[in-house]
Amino acid sequence: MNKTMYKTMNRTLYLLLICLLGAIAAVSGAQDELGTLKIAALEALITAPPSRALPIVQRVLKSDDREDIKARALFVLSQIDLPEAHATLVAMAQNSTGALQIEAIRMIGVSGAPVAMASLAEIYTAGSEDVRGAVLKAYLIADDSQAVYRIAAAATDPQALERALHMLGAMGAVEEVRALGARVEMSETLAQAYAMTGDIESLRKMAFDAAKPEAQVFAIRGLGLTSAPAANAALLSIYREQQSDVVRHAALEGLMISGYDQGVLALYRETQDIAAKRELLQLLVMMDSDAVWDEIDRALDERP
Amino acid sequence: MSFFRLLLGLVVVLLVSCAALAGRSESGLDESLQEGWNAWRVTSNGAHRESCCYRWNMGKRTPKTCDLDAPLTAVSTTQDAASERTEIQVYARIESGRASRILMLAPQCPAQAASGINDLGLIAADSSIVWLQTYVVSRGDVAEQALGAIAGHSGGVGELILVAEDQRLPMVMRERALFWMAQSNSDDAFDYVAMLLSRRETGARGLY
Repeated sequence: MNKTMYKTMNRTLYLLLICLLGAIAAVSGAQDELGTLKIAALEALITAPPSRALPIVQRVLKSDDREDIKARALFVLSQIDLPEAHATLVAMAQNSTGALQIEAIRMIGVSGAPVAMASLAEIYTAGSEDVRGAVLKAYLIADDSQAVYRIAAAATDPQALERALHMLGAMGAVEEVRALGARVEMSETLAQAYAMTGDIESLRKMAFDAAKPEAQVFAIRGLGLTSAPAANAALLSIYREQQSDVVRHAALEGLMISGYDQGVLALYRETQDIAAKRELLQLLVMMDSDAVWDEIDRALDERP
Repeated sequence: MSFFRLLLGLVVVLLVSCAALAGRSESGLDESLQEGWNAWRVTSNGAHRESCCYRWNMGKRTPKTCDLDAPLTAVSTTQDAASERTEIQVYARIESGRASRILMLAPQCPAQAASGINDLGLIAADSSIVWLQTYVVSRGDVAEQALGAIAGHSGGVGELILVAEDQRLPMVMRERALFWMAQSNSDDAFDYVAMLLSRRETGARGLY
């Protein structure tokens, strides 16, 4: 092959490559445009009469269109308050796979339709970990703490119970978490759930129960997480009254988590123990408390 | 959707588009318009939900006179089935020869303006659409209001389809055309939306 032929071939290949890239760009541009229009059309259907919108949305869900477009169709479906719409959502949640199934489950939560919500228990039982997580989130969206409680109460797998407890905490379901608290031994998860629901009474009970030192530590941290005045008062009491170094240290951690520097300062001023004073002063510094500078000034003034 | 139905849908869109294009000329409406508020009636698409001003109290509504001069005229569209009304009333405020506000109401809904309203009576829906369409294409402040008014006109959906398909227009305008199409509540609009949603990605192109 001579040099000229080689050059010509090279140039031809180069041109072909440019044409190919141009064609790809044009096709992907058209796809983006059509996708945007389709999503706008679906969103427009939200304000259309439900009986007109439903068959169109159902057709999109039956098609082999892109997943993001079908996901938007599922959202529109969740906004249609018709039994057929709820039934379609349930069918999608039961029969789809992957991300679309997860989205259908989530949209059942968004719709909050009782019939569709009732189907979630069965989907949870038969589902994978991802599906189960999605069902819990759907209950969270629909604010159905009773349904999450039923799942937690029936759970035989500790991980499933932990996840349900977390969800109940996030939902602020005080009564449900308390009811489970009497039955489970998961002190860390339980303390977190109590903290999330702001249940200081249950955390106090746990924090003062010296028979379970490990649970005490988790509960004390939980008290700190709430940052509530009653929790701060409880943390001060624990530090003053408890004998265990581990528990007292946990109380300081709780005060730090809570950001209650005035409480730490009060402890600093009342203690006569030099080592404890040092620890409390260090804590105030770590908390970036302005009070620490007042104390340093005072200490300097008192120097002979 | 069957291939036949898809083909039929495309033919409908093309026919509607051609009809609208053919009608694209001067509306003749400008000569009749005066500075301030103007109003005219047109044949409606027959399915548009009733737009009126209401006073709301504890979820109950009572019709009230629309104050066109109010900065925000709260117009509500009823969710009831399409009324028997076959006309809609278009209101346009003209300032320095240009529309500064466009509003569509049901003809039986009373409206008032401090400077009075120049009532043009019943005019051809096509003329009204052509006039409104200029404000859509100019992409000015009242483009959205013009789209909303077009939706209620007889044959207005055809114009909205043209806007939705017009690749020269900004995407946001095309999206709004789709929104108003769904508001029009007409069979043509839902046929088009269904057709758009069933359109294939490969080789997909707008009408232009």
